[in-house]
Amino acid sequence: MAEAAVTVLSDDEIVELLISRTPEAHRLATWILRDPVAAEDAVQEAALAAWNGRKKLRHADNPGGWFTTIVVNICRDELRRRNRRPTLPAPVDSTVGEPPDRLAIREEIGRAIARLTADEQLVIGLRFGRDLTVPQIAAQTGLAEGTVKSRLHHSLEYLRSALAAERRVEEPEP
Amino acid sequence: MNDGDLHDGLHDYYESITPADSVRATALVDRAIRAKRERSDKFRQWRPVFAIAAAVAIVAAFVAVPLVFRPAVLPNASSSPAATPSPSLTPASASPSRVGDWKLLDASVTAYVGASWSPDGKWLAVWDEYSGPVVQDMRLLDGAGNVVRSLDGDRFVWLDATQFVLSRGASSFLGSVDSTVLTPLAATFPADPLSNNRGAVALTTVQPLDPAKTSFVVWTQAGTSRAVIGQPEAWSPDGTRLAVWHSTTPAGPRGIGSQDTGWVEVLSWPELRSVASLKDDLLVPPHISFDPSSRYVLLPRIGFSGFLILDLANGRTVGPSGITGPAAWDSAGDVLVAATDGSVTTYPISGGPAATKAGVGDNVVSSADGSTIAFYFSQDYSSNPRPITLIRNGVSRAISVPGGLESDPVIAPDGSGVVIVCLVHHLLPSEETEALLLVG
Repeated sequence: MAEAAVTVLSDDEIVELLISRTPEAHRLATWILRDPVAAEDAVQEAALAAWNGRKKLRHADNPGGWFTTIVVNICRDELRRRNRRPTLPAPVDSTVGEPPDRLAIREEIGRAIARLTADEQLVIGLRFGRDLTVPQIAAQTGLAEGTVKSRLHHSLEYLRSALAAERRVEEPEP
Repeated sequence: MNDGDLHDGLHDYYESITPADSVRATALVDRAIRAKRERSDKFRQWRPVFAIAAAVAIVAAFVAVPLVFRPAVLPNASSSPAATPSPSLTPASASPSRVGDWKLLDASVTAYVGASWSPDGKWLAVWDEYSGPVVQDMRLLDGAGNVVRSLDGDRFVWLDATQFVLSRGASSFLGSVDSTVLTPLAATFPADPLSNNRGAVALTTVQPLDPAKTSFVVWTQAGTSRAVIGQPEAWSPDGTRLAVWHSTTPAGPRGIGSQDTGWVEVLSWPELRSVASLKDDLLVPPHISFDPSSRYVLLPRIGFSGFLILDLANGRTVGPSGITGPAAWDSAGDVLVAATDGSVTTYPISGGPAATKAGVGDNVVSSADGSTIAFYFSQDYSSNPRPITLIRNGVSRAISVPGGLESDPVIAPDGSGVVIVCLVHHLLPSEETEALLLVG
């Protein structure tokens, strides 16, 4: 039986790979952290970690996926740090001509997501930001599919109740 | 809001935060990687020279160290230099395994672990991360780390040395270490109940849209107090004072990096009358703590940029000023401040001379009575063995744990036990594990 060819990357190729993957990694980190500046830091940290571990990266079956997993792990750490010392979410962008209601809903959603746990924020970001399926999120995070489903379920349940509570505060009953 | 609206809202939200370009991120990575590569190339070039120098240094150290250095305190009687814990851990078992200075309680968890000691340090409750409405697996352990009972619930809080409250959804239950019976309570405990360890628990109703309207009540088995505006942050060790954060953050959306602003008030219990208050633009709510005598309150400023100490006897600030770094109390009521150079300095409240102690780490926490102090690295997410300095009743002891700390060490109020959650095999894909360690 023919052995599968294993690509061995040189240092130059690793540098090129990391740089070429940065825009996608930055978008991914932004969806998870919901802050483009923090996402820049996370991607930089991930790239340095990948470079330090390039012996493994050199022989990885899927070097791009390996780098993405490091980005996800570092973002998860950052979310956990935030959970210990909560910060307010970054403001959302508004487009000229957009109805103010839509902007307000985005703000509400941002605040509600910030109150989820780190792992819940992670799966919500991968599901609705990155548009990954449950099996893809499981593969990306190393979690069991059941765990991903459960976290998504509870996160959505929490978001629904948190947004409903905000509405009640905004529109008190007469 | 129905499912469809929520999903549409989430998609719209994430689309709105998608960066338009990643030019800056790419430039940062490019620069960082190339600089790192340059340094490693230079190192490779000089490696033969370094190798010779290192060999000479090692030989010199072998000759010199035994002549000039005697360790002041051994880690413990049973450990030796060879007892440094191995980073490869076995899954949890009924009886905890012991490696060197700590016992492994669990290494099978992958979620963030919480722990809480009973006020007398004889019991320990552990659970996985708080997940909103998710019911957690909890375990009750004795002080030696043996599992006494498994429980389902969340929002766990000790009422006193033997009684606790936990909740499942909208129901809260009173439990005891002496019984398997859980008694339903009329009240529902919300997230983050804050106990004075003497039967009173502050229950907060958070108002996320308008933090200035956040309020709380104090619950006891005899009844519930009136509602008071503010967010409870810390009880005094004697249970008679409650530090409360009053947010002045305006309602509505905020900008990137904006910080909650507010002031601190200390209330008496059970009267809930104001004892003292302090307004300062740089105060932040986390890590507010009372000294062991319950007379002084340490109020950190933003980003550990310093702290203020409020004397409840006269409402004035006292003690050292201009000191930066994480701070904690020792049993004498002096303030310990950690520095980034790996030292900890003691500052007497009276303003006497400061004294520096050797240690390892850039953060410090202490038990409520100040008898046990842990000194450690707070921003360390490596999976290599990490050092911690433990000072108990004035005796310093160096221990090593298998990875970077995931959270502050949890110290029993009487200082008798310490629980540590650390990462092992952390960074690489599919290898992350969190270990729960008990330090005797």
